[in-house]
Amino acid sequence: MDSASSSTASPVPTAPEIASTFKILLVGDSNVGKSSILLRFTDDHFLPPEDTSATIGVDFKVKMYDLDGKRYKLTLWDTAGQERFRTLTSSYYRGAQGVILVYDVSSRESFEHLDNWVEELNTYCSNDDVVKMVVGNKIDKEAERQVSRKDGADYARRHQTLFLECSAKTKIGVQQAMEELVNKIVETPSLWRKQLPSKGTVSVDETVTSSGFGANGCAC
Amino acid sequence: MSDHLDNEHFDTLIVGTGATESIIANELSAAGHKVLHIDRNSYYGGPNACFSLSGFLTWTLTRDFRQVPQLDLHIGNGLFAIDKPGPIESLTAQLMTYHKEGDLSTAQETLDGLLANDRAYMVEPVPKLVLCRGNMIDLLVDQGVGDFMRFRGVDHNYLVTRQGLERVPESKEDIFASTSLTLVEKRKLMRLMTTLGANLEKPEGSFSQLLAQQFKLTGKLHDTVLYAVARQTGYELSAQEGCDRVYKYVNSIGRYGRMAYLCAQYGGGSEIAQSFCRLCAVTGGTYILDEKLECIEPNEDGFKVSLRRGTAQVSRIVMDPGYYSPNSAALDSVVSRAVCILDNPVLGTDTTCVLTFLDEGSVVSLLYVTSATMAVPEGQALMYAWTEGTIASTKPLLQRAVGVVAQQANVVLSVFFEVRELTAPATDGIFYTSQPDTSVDFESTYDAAQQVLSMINKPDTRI
Ligand SMILES: Nc1nc2c(ncn2[C@@H]2O[C@H](COP(=O)(O)OP(=O)(O)O)[C@@H](O)[C@H]2O)c(=O)[nH]1
Ligand SMILES: [Mg+2]
Repeated sequence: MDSASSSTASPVPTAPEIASTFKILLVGDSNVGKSSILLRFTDDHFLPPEDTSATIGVDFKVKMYDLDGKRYKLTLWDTAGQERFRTLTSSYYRGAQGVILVYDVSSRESFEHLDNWVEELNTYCSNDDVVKMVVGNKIDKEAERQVSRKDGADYARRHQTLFLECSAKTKIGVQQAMEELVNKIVETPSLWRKQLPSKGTVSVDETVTSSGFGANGCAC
Repeated sequence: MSDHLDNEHFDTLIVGTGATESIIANELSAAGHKVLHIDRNSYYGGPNACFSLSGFLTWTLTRDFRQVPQLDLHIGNGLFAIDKPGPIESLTAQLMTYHKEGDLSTAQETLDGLLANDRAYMVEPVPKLVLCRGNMIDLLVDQGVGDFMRFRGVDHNYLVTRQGLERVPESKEDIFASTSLTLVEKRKLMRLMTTLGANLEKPEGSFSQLLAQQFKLTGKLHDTVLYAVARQTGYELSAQEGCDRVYKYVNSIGRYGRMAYLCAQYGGGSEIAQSFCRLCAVTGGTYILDEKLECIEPNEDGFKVSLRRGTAQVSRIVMDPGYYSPNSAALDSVVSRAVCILDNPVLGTDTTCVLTFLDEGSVVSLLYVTSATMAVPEGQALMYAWTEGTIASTKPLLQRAVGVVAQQANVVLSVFFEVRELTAPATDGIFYTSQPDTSVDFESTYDAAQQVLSMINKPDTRI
C-alpha cells in the first residue's frame, strides 16, 4: 500500500484486525470423519473415501471467522492419527478454547467411546470453561444409522455440551457446527481474555537482536 | 483403522519416547521413513517425562529399579526409603509403608495438603534448559515447535558456596555494575568474555590452566567462569572445550530474555518430546504408548517384532538403552539427583535460576523454578540439584547445596535418587540412543539424536 492509494476518496477495504485466536480440537475414534469435517470446513472439500492418505500431513488448518465486525483466527487441529491407539499428547489439548467430540452415527461403538474422549479431555484441558461440542457425523448414511439423534442429544445434555449432527460428505451441518462453537467461545471471555502471554514469557519464533557481548563486536 | 497391528511393515521401529528418540522419529519420518514409535509407559517423554506431583510419586514406585536402585522420599522430618516397587492404587497409604524414621502422621498430613494441588506441580526427574543460541533452539524454531512451546528466560545464574549466593554477571552492564568485583577483575572478565566470545583461540591444555595463565583469573573469578559459565562438572575440560562452551554461553546472552538459557513451561523435555512425536505423526508416524516389546526376531528383512497390540515387520530399530535386556545392563556412570518443594519462593516468585554449588572440590548443579513456568502452585518453589556419584556418597552434599539456597524456606518434600546410565552394545540393525546426561541444557540431547541419525544414514548400514 503506497500513500497515494490511501488518500483516494474510495476507502481501501482493510482486513479487520484479528481480535483473538482460538485453538479448536477435533477428537474421537479413528474413521469417524474428523479430518473430513476439518477439510470440509476449511477448504469446502471432501476427499473420496479411497484417498485416505491425503489427510496425512495435516497438522492444523487456519480459517478466519468474522462475527459482529470482529475477526477471529481459528486454528483447527487434527489428531494426526494419534487417536488410533489413544496416544494424543497432552500438549495437543493445552490451551484449547473449543473441542469437537466426533462420533459416526453409523457406528454405535464410536458413540460409546465418547466417554473415553470426555475423560481424556477432562484430564488434559487446562481450562474448565473450554467449550465442548458433540457432533454426530455421516448422517448421509441414514440407512446404516446406529445412533439416533435423540441418543446423541441426550448424551450432550448429560455432559453439558453443544450438539449437532452433520455430514462432511454432503456438508450438511458442518458450517453450523463451527459457528455455534465459535459463538459460544466468543460468549465465554474467560476462555480467551487471559490468553495474552504472561509477563516474562518469550516466544522464540522471532529473533531478538543481541544485547550481550556477542561475537559481532561489542568489544570494549 | 484397527487398534491392532497385523504384521504391518515399518521402515523403523523406535522404542522409547524420550526427547532424543522423538527428534530421531521426526527426522526419519520427514525423510520418508514409515515410523512405528512405542513407549512402555502410558505417557510420553521416557527419561524426559514431566509429572504432576502424584504422577511423580507414582513414578517413584514404578520406576526402573535397575536404573534408579535407590530413592529416598522426605516429607517434613519423615523419611521413606522406597527400595522396592509397590502398587499404586492408594498412593499415599502405599508410600507410608516405606516409612523409616520421623513423624508419620505429620508427613501424611503434609502430603495430603500438597496433593490437594496435585496438577499444579510439573516435576521432571531430569530437568534441562534450552540454550538461547544452540542446535536445539534452532531445531525447535526450524520445525515450528517454537511457536507452540512457551518459554521464559532464565533470570539469574548464581555461584553458590557455603557462604551464600553470588550472581554471575551476565552482561557487560552486569560486570560494570557488579559490587563484588574489583576494577581489575572487571577488566579481566571483560577481556575473557570478548576474546572467547569471538571464538578465536585454539589452545592446548586444560581450560582451568588457560583461565589462570592466559587470563590471569584466580579465586572466585576463576571458579565462576570454570563452573558457572563453562559448567565443568565431572572431568576436567580441555581448553578447547571450555572455550567452546564460553563461546556458546556468551553468544546466547541477550538473544531471548536476559540470560543465556530458556526454561520451557510445562517441562521442557516432555514438551520437546511430545512436539516432535506429534510432528512425526503428522507425517505419518504411528504411535503406541503403554506397549510391551515382547520379542524381537531377526530375519532377512530386518526384524519381526511382537508387541502386545500385534506384530510388525521392521527394517531397523532405534532404542533407548533403558529397554535393553533386563538383567545385564552395563553401568556406565551414576548421577544423584534431588527434587525439592520449598514452601517459599526464596529466589523470587516468578524467577527461574540456574545455580552451581562448589563445596570441597565437588560441583552440584541446581535449578530453581516457580509458578512462572507452571512448576509449582503460587507461593512455592521447586528446586532440583544433581551431581555425579552415588546417593550413598553424595546425599549430604546435595542436602547442603539445597540448604544453602533454600535459606529460610522449608523443604516440605524432597526426593533423592540415583540414576545409573544404562548403555547397550552395538547390534546389527539396532541403534541405541543414549540417556540424558548431567548437562544443564539440551545440546547433548540434540547431539545424541544426530549421532544416531548419522549412523542410520551412513551408506554402509543396512537399510
Ligand atoms: N458417507 C460419509 N463418509 C464420510 C463422512 N465423513 C467422512 N467419511 C469417510 O469416513 C472415512 C474416515 O474419514 P476421516 O476423515 O479420515 O476420519 P478420521 O479418522 O476421524 O479423521 C473416510 O473414508 C471418509 O471418506 C460423511 O459425512 N459421510
Ligand atoms: Mg484423521
